[in-house]
Amino acid sequence: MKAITRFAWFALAFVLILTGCAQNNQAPGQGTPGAAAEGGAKPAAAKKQTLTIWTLQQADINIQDAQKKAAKAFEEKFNADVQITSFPYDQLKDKMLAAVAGGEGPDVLLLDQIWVAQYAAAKYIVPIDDYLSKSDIKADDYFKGAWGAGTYQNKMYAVPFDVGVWGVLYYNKDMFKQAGLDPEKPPVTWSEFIEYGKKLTANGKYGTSNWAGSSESVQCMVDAFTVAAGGKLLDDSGKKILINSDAGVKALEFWASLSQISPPGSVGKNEEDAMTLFTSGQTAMAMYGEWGQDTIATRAPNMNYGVANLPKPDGGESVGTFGGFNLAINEKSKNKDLAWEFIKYSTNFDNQKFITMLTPAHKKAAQEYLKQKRKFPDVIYSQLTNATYRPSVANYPQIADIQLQATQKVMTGKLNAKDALQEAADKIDKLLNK
Amino acid sequence: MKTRSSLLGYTLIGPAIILLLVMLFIPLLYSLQLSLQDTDLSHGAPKWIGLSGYRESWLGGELWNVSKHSIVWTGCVAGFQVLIGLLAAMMLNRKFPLRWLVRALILLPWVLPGVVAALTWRLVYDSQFGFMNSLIAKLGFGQHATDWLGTPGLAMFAVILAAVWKGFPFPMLMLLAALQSVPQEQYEAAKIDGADTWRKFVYITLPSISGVLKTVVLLVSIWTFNYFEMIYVLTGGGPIRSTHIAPTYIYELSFRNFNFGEASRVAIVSFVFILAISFVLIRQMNKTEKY
Amino acid sequence: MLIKRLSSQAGFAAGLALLLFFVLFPFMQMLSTSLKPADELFTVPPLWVPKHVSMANFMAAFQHKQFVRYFMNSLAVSAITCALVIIVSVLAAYGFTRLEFPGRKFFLNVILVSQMFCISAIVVPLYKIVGSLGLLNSYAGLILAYMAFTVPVAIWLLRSFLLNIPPDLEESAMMEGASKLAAFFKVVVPLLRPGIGATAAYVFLMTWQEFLFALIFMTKPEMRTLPIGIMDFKGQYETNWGTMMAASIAISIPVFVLFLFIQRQLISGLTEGATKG
Repeated sequence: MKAITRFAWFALAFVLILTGCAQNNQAPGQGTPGAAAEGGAKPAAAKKQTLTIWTLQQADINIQDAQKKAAKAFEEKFNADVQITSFPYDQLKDKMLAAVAGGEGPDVLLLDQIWVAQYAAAKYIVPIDDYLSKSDIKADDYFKGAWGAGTYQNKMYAVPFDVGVWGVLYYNKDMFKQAGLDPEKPPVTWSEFIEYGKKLTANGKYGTSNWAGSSESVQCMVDAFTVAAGGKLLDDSGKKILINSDAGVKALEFWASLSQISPPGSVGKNEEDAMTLFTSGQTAMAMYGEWGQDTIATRAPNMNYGVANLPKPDGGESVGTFGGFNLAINEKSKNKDLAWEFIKYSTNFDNQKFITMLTPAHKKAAQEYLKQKRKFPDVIYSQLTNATYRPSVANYPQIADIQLQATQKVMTGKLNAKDALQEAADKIDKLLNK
Repeated sequence: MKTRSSLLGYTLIGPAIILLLVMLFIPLLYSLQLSLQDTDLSHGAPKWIGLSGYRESWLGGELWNVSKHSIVWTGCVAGFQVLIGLLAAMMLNRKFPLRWLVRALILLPWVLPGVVAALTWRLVYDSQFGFMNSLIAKLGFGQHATDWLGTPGLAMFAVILAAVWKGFPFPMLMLLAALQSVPQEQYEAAKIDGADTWRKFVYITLPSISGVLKTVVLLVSIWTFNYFEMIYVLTGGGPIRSTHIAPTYIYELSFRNFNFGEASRVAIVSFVFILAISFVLIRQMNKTEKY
Repeated sequence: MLIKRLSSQAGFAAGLALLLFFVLFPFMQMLSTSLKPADELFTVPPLWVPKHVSMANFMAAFQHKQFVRYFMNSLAVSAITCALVIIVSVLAAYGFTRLEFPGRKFFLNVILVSQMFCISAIVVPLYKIVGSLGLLNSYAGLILAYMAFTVPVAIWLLRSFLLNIPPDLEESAMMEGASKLAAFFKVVVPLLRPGIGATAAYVFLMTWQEFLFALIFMTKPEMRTLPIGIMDFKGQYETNWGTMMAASIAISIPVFVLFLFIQRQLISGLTEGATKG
């Protein structure tokens, strides 16, 4: 009887000790989140400021090494301790939000463009207009869409770090030859695209693959086509959605009509599945982000492929949608000035060439980067310069989801594009004016 | 029968209770107070709105939609998990060659990290590259490309099948352990009486495992209701929100929309719902409890 | 009679085969994918058996610099959690079934309530608490969180196994002069072994594959656990299917072997023990 009691007290004490001793760990770490456990090891050698940054984990190890090298140089210049940790995209997204909403998180936040408005509206990040006015960072040096994505309600919150564009057109030259098409003449217009696609759809192979699975990317494509057809996404007041215009309807109809030249099962697919079909030689053309070259290089290194601008509507333009990441300062950061220095450092011309995960957001750096790392750099650069960006409003994720539902309704044949977009626009307008 | 001993009792359950207080009930209270606020980002700073937020979430319609899916999902997944688990446990309780190997093999779905399991099913359901369509073709139903995850209606079936697969080893293992304590003499006595298999099951097996069976039903139902990863990875709640259940909706509200107030409201509503159901189940259990 | 017996055995075999097929079906695609060379990964229709078996994916998985590290981290966290949970829960389950004290039923039900809350709704406050305890980025914090979520279930499971063991056994042992403790450990615990085994398996596997806490609480790459680490093979836009499937097979094998041993110890061979008792 006594022994059981003693045993239970032991268990209780153990739990408490577990809690208690770990608490001691933190003591010297001055509470810098994410660095807490490290505190004990380092003596208080001078007042070194610590800076934590979480970045995106990429397959390319060279970039991680380059980032580490750049961070080292920064550490020496500012007598600081920089801690870079990288995570895959989905993990970064969830982990960062939990930490920041919990009042902690890294000092410098690497934000997907579509998160900037939300982080700003939630006051998780601080406006940087004052910092900007005192620095030599010029908006013109960066891609316009990327800079625009860093603003929220006329204030600047996040400096562009890198950019990507949805998308460019990849096509398989060998399959073009087999279908009797000129491999040096990829389709330019929507109607050409479908016409070529029909010729390429034979013997179990298909022209392309559209998709409508649960992800943002399908909306990037439809948004891009809407703007290409002369439409706009949001009116200037930001209170009215314009996707139900003729341009929007045409864009969605075009995307849905690609099902006739795609393998069955588009709705359950996402962009990755569509690209897998292309790299495995099942489809002859793919519309995908410009980083798809890396995918092809790893999965189908021997493919004879070309890259062209996205097809455009008759009389329209070839427009893509921006993606990419911006850098912002955590509202809870204790070293905001140092964080700003780090942002400046990471977005200047010299560093941009080496440390970005996608194409540098700095235009001059981007040109050099593309020449060095990509085939068809001019095609990509031109697609980047006139790309549009997604609405910079705080409830963008909800809007995107309503758009996605409209797309899925059209692609499963539940509604026609006009009705689906009208229904979506009504819902979105309500949301924008709540 | 029971010894009355408050001090010893509290000491024994103390560690567990303290753990729960700190790690679960404080967060719960926090959620409760969040649920009384309007945290929609487009409305500016969070505002105290009291209970009216609950009314609005209900009137919004989405909650109702999600509840319906949640009930179908929980009923089917939990039901089949326990049913298949029970059948499997009874099969594996019989003696046959290589039983030790089969017992371990059957636990495999459970060993796999949840996200990996979900990604594997994503591959299995792929219209072109998946083994599911290929299996159907091999069975002689012809080559086709069913869009398992992209067809409303079918998608729910697909995620349920995958979730049953992932989770049934738990009831199986528990019931198999419970079957060890069924007194063998009773079977022998029943054999002499000439009872058939079904009678033996109803009159001997079921009563002796009923305690564990009820606990398992309760736990599996609660977990299934809150089971998130499978649907999140396979369909993300789509197509056309046809597979959105409470946890995926809560995740969407908090991690995508940053609307922690609304997320807390949905979480609390579903919490109360599970609580009510569990309460009924628990009362049922206590009624028949022997000790 | 013989025919009936044979047909029932055939039925049994068929049922077992069906069950095994259901369980192993996704693993077939996994295994097949992991063994395919890059150019065979995606063909229409898919090949079930690779034309050329390639070990390249397995090599790649093990060349990943921290894969083994992740595995060891997970193993340590799961084993420690498992041991602690069993200690805490066996005691608590004993308290709940064999002792009478005010609030017993209440606490028992309160414990279960903890399972009913959607974790993604409380992850932010939980992060704050773990942070204010100074337990972020430490295994102690992770283990504590895992304990909080598995102890309630363990108690309930162990309790329902305990209820099946008649208290007269202990009482008669106590009549013979054994203390309550001795009676519990000598008479009840051996009978509880299948229950403890099954519960331990539950705790081990829950922690082994837990994702959200491990993601939110741990930051340092070298401290990550397997479910997080294995996502290294999945990028924002590209999943490295071959390597990921190979890695999944590789991590399943040791646990599978572990279960081979454990199930013999804990489930088989107990029938005899139980009837003897």
